[in-house]
Amino acid sequence: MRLLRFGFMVALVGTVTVGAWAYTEVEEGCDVAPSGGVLIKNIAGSINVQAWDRDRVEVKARLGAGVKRLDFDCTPRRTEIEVVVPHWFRRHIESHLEVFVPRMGDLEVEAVSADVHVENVAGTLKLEAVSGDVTVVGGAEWINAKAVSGDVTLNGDAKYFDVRATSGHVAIAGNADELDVETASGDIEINGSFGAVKIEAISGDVEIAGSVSDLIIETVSGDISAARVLKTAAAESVSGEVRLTADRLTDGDFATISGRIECDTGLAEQAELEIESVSGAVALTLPQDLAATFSISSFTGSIRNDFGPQAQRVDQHGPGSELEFTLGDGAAQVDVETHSGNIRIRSR
Amino acid sequence: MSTCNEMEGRLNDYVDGTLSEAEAQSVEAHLGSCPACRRAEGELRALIAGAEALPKALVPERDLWPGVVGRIQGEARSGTVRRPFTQTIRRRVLPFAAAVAVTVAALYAVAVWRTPGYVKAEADFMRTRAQLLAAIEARGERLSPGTAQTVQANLRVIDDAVQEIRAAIEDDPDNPRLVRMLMATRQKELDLLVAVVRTPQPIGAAP
Repeated sequence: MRLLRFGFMVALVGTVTVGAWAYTEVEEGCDVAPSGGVLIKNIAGSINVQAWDRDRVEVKARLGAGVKRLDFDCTPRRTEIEVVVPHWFRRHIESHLEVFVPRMGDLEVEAVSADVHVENVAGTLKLEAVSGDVTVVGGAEWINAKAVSGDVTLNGDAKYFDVRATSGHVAIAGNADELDVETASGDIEINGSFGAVKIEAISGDVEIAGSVSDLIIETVSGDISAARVLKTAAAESVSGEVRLTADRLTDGDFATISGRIECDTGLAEQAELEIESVSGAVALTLPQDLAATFSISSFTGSIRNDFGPQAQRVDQHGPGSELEFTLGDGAAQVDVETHSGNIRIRSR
Repeated sequence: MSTCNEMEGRLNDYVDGTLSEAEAQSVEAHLGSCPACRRAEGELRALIAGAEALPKALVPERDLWPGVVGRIQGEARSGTVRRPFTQTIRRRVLPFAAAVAVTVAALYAVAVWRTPGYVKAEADFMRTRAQLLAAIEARGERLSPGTAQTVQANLRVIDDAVQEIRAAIEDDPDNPRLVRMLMATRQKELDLLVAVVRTPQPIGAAP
């Protein structure tokens, strides 16, 4: 009898435990316009969105215990899907959504502690997660992705990428006319071919492989590396290192306080290249057959020049060196100024 | 149509004019039927207009940073009630801080052309910095350890840079580029503090 009672209690506890973790499966669907918009909201769990070639939205939901309901509000032009949990429920109730949407539709996703994964939706994407990761595979018209502590990974082409991250890692592989990234401490890796790129980072490192036509980067302590800039570049750093290689800059503007600047570039005719630093060293590598006018100065740093002319003291009795010379017809303009950082002008 | 809860996140962008047409229409529809949110919109617009007409001020009497550092380092505050990010902070501080940062950036442009004016411009930067630090302190919740560490480390980098530039200006006082770099570095500090104020920190979220 005691054994029977014990067995009954085990079975009862087991049932309650399993029941507490059981999911409720819900499926919904409706026919929509081919470019209809879809909004999906889920606080915790995951949101997985796949494009298909049907004019229809379908959702397969596994709702965690405690979820009040799945709201599915569908009109031909707009579908809204939301996992509704009691507002007084303190712990996260995980629900997992698999959503199928028309390929050319627009998509909006709002998640808190849920990972967001989107594949092959080609309209406009607006994706937000707080602590979940955001991943996009396949091209879209326009991608706006925000994550606070989660990572953002975009693989595909778009006209415009707009990424906001705080501490998560940002990885972008694709091609776009415009790319705008803001991050605080997360690192940024970019690979592909881009028109205009603007990056604001605080301590995350930025690495750009592939090509960029026009680049603007600001960082505090993160290091910047850009492999191939085609036309214009502007980089500002407080202590981070700036390393940049360019084909033929038409305009270059680099500034740092204590970080090192290394730039290897050709210059277009009438190009203007300006580099300023307080204590950071400057290493500038230029083609041997360059035609440019140079104005180089440093308050206390040294100036070394591979192109021949050497720096002169500004004042025999005080600090300051300067070097001014012209190569060829002097069409381009190169200005470099540091306070105490050493300057090296190299030829290749 | 937006709800009052949704307005918390959208009103700033609506007043800044950065919402899409559909989102702006949704906000306007709500404002048309909600006196409380209409009042909040009016207050926000008045704050921004007031911030743009800020008078010059002296350097603050006390440095608020040590108090914030203590909080960042996770010192316990007995009797403190943890509150989520209040609507007041979001509505009032963010546009105020952004408007003040823009105002001060304009002052820095003047400082470039009038070297002695940079001293006055720096005083205004310090005032804005103090207000932003007060706003962070007023949030009433701890920053996540990772965020606090990043903020602290980068503020130290910026402090070191400012000291370095100031020393360079003492050596070379007639150099306008150094003044410009000082102002640009101060602006980075404000940008960092505004970023901290904007960062959502849900209680229990991973750092």
